[in-house]
Amino acid sequence: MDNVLYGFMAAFQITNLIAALLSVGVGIVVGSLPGLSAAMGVALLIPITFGMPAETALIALAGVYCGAMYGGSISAILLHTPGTSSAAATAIDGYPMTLKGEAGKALATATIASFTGGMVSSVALYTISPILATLALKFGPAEYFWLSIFGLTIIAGVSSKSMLKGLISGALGLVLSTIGMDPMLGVPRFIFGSNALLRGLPFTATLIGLFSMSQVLLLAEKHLRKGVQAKEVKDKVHIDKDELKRITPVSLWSAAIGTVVGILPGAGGTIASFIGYNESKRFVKDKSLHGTGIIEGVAGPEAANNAVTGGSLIPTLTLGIPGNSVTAILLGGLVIQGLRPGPDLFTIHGQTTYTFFAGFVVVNIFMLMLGLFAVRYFAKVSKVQDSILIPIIFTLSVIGSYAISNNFTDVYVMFIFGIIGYFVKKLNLNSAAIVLALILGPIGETGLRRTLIMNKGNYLALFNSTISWVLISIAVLSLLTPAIMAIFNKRKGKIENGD
Amino acid sequence: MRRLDLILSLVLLAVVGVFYYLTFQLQQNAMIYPLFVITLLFILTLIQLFTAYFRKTDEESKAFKDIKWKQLGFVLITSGIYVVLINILGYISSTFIYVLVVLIGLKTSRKLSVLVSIGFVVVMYFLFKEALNVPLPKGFLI
Repeated sequence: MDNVLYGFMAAFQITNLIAALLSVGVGIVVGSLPGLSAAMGVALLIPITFGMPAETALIALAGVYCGAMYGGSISAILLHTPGTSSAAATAIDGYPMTLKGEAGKALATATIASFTGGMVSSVALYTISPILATLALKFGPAEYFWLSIFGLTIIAGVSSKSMLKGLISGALGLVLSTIGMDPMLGVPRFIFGSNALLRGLPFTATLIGLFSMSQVLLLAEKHLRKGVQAKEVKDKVHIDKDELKRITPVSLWSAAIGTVVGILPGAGGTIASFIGYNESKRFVKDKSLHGTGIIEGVAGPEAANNAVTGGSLIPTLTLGIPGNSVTAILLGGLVIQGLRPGPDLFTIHGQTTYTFFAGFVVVNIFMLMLGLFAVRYFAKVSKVQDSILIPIIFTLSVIGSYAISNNFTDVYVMFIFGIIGYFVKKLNLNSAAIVLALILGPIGETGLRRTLIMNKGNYLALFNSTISWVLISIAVLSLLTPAIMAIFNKRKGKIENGD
Repeated sequence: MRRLDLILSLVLLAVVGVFYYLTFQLQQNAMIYPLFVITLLFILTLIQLFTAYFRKTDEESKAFKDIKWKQLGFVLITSGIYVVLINILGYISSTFIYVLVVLIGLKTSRKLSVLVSIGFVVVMYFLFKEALNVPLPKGFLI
């Protein structure tokens, strides 16, 4: 409890408040620009936050994450082009509202629903994380090995277009994670004659390449978006008491669902927002109104996708298994700050963690304020041309990858991984699985080799505990999920056809 | 997509080959784990190769359809030159040149291009150098 109170006091320190406010603003801009993702924003911010105290850095990263998740709705509502894929469901009812001249009302609804989503998920963050973290106390090296295998299979199996390609991405990441010094023997491996690679692939540069520079190339290959004329926000950004009453139950219900979806690794904002949209139909008597521009249709997906933010932080912070690319990068940011996911975060580093949690709440409050009072200005930013974004993102990628260790080799690594990242996206491989393997690889390797050394090379020691078997079972289950879902859908189809 | 999947498998096999070759140059104790993960990638790539090769139905891939190759090539090459140029001229001056060249190359109006390049460089200088204290790469200019 002391830590919780300390967290709130620390989060209200001026530096943390400024970090929260600025990062939410940056996040909203990134989210509202179609083509830029939350992952890109967070990746570029890591080097900037590197020199900050850990809690300030984490608050800033969460600010971009939450802001971007919400910002996607602005272009979904005004341009019918979701700024992020998680906002695709918001466009279904949001854009018709704009056409009816109710853009302000739609934006206010999205803001309030996103805020509700964020707050509900922060309750889960406070209550579920410490419990889950104590589970990690029971983990030995063998369990850590299986945990890393589980983390990889779930992200590869659930969030990839093709499971095989997801697994290939994970395996490729594991191979790349062996570059650098052998953790047990201290001999160099695969350093290609470069001393700079002795410490392994520079993590930040690799992910800036995979997520930010690749985005530059993806923008450059298409017909460039010239300052699109977004619809003007003619009405007030406001909803009245009755409308607030209408969206409150939808928002709370969708937020609860979004939080659960967020906790499950592999699912994420897009899935949550479509479930949230479907769930919003429960709260409207006349189902035919959906799609014509009603506030419930905006509140459902927005509450759900912002609830994913807090939910997805839970497995990331407690077990070190992030469920999506943003939390995978955030986990990297955590490791760079010298923090390791698990029980230590709630005991030794309790003050830092609870300051971060309180900061997460503050971030959501700033998001509400910016959304209600400054959304008109953010709407103008979503008009920025692609031709301006291209050089700016690339120069930021260069300075971002250089800043961590002031080493130019990192910039070359970023450049190479930018090109790799482009092909990864084009060929339906999974960049999140690669990044996750880079983080989990060394944990799994150390776990495996420690277990073997402690048991004189006996491989059976890996299967000694119940926790190991639970992790193995859910890893296998996650690999079977697509097959199970296919059978389930087939049956459902048969039932619906009356067979 | 089939053809692309085949090419992907071959590229991955080449990566596996290089890492296999380097693994066998490591001392024996250090070899086991890398060998394990490389073999994992090798097996998965083989499955991918065979499934792609024997796939009968093939949906047309949209991945490389309607790509503006000239524009993409222009951005990639200028970005490559920019990275090299930073070491010679320094971050600020090469960034100014790079942003300006790319903007004009991508047919942005001249006035806007100049304004954006100057504005961006000024912001970068004060943000990184003054506010965040990040040393910027130096050359014979700034």
